[in-house]
Amino acid sequence: MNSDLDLLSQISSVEAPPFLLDKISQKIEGRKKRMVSPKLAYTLTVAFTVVLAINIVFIFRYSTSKPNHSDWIGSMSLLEDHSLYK
Amino acid sequence: MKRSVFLCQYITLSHPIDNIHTMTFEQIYNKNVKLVYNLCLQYVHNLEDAEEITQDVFISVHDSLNKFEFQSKISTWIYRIAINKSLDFIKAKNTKKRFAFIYRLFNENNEIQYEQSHFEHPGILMENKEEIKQIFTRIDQLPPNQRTALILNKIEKKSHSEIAEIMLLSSKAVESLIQRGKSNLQSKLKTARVDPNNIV
Repeated sequence: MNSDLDLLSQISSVEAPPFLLDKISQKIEGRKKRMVSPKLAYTLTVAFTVVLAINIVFIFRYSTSKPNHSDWIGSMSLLEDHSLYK
Repeated sequence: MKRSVFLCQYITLSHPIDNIHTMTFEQIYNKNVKLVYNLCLQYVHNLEDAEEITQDVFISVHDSLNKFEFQSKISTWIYRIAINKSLDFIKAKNTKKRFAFIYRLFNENNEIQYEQSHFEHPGILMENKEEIKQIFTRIDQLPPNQRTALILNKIEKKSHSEIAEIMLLSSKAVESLIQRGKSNLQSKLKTARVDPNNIV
């Protein structure tokens, strides 16, 4: 067992590849460009909420109510209690 | 002024150094890149993966420097990030491997997209390569805490107190982790030598 662990201690450290810092810097810069600014995110959220609120108000205020059942029967000249079906 | 705030004002890629608390990101990178890269290499045993994790580690360092509170050495903090990133990377890769058959169902070519990383460790001598590969295969099967303690102690040659600081444990707990890791590794290696096909 100790010889196995001795083998591990023989592993030497290696140098990191060159240009790694450049790659990291590019990734950081690229991410900054892709990020949506908090101001824009806030504006879009407010706009979306306003549109959603307007829609809800319109749906509740201007939606047509269902016709009354007896009105509908009257308009079709039907009998509400037809003896045929009793 | 709080030192961390002071530090974060200097975290650009080109500001000059005044003292340890005003190090630039580039200086922090230069001072720690070797230790991070080597530590990642001990976890993933593959150059490409180690490079990818090293990049992730330094991006996290860059993002979190203003949160660093100087309660430990900066290298200890970076070690911690590197360990977590390496373990996350391995977990993600294993998940991908587990669900490879699903990718296969939706892939037009009917090919498995996941590819097992090959063993590629430049710090190992050619004559020891096969033997160390076997040891690493067994170390990879240990619980993350035991694996970390063994890697830090046997490969990175850290003392128990240094490991305790990195892993946020007591020295006694570290000692016990290393002992348990060693005995688990021993039994796994014994099983492997009796039956080389057994990798559980």
